[in-house]
Amino acid sequence: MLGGIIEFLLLKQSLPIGISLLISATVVSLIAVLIHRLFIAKTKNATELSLIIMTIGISITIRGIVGILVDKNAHPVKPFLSFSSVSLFNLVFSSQYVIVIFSTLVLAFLLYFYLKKTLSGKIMQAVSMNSLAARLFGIDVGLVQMSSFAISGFIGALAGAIIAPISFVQYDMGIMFGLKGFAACVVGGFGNNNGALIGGLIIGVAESLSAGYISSSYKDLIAFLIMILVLFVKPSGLFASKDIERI
Amino acid sequence: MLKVENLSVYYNKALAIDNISLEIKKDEAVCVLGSNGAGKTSLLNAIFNTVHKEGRVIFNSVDISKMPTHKIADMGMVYVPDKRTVFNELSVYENLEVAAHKIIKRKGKREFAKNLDAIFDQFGNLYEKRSLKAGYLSGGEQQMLSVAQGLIRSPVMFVMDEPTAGLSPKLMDVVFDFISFMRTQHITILIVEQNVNKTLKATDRAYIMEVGKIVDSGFSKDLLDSESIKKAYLGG
Repeated sequence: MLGGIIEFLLLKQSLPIGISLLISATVVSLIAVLIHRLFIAKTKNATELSLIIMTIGISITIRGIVGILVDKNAHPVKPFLSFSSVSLFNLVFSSQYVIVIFSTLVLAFLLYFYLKKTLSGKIMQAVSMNSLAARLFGIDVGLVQMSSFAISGFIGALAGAIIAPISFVQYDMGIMFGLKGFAACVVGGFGNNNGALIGGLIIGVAESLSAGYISSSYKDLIAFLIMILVLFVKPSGLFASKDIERI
Repeated sequence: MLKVENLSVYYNKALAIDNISLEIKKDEAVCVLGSNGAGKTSLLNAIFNTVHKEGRVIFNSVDISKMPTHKIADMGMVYVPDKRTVFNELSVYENLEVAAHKIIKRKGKREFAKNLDAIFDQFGNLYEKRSLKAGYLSGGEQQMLSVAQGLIRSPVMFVMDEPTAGLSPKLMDVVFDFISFMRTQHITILIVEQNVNKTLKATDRAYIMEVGKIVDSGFSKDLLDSESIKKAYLGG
């Protein structure tokens, strides 16, 4: 949400799209770092659950602050390309979808490359798997966690800014995207970035089909029905990475 | 090289280590023996500052009592805890790469490759499985990988917590062979073990712990002949 809002405010000042994207992503990335330093890193005896609850609380607070400082109305944002629609195989869709698909693929590739091919990406994975061992190898776990917050803030802001021309920007625009992102992760399988990507595609296509063939009123319902179905059939997700642990 | 002074460790109000002091000199191999619950693991965790403690720990004349764990590790101390240090979802090669990240950053990939060759010379089966995820290794192989992760960092001191736990007698021999190898490389060793006989044979000195206190200490070869040690730990 913050990425979309900041981008909207910057575009209103007639800044170019590229610059406004970069600024909004950087600002949100810094806010994410601040949240990590002020709250996450300072929590004593933190458990995963307590941290999840804390971040939900922080997101509600940020939403409230934005609602007060900006406003609660939905604001339109112009598509990034000069032409508003694209026609492909007799299908006509907003040109912004091209940007969304292209950006998703680029970001997914960059994230994959960083995590799998670079040493600092492997260190980030190592910290998530065994933080004590990481500390014993001289890794500053706090710094790595802070970097992961910075990266997720940057990517989240870009996503919010890029989707803004499709969804409009509003102080609470992130709630449904967050929930559907969670559903996509559940469908694809936690711990598998590519799985989450495919999960998102499955949910998105199912939503559109249901909107076309049944009713757009049930669009959101379909996403969560698929999630519940997957949880019933394969709780670890369709493409879950196998958790390997020797006992 | 390592001095522990008046160390106490509490878990909430339960006393795990009660005001102990010990010293390990450069190039020495020292073991800490004792039954379960004696406080051996707490001692190692306190040295590496992963538990709350009172007292002082000095390494190479530097007070490391309040130093963060990752900075203690940076000083050339390696700790292989009983829970092992492998990263299950990373390959064997990546596990070694992460362990040696400081060498890669400071001295470059070439130095890492040199160390890696030396490690694979010692641990042939790890070379064969270098592309396999560490989580798929057997318990013994994971233990070997943990030791290899420590060795690839060119440590000055190697600390191990029950490295033979859960291993077959054959693999135990391999672990003790590596302890002998480390001694030839002038690496100072502190080891906590349950296998009293083999550990005393592989080390210079020993401390015996019981319910959080050091109750005996001396040269390993003397303790090996001690009647009380034979009675308590060697079944006779």
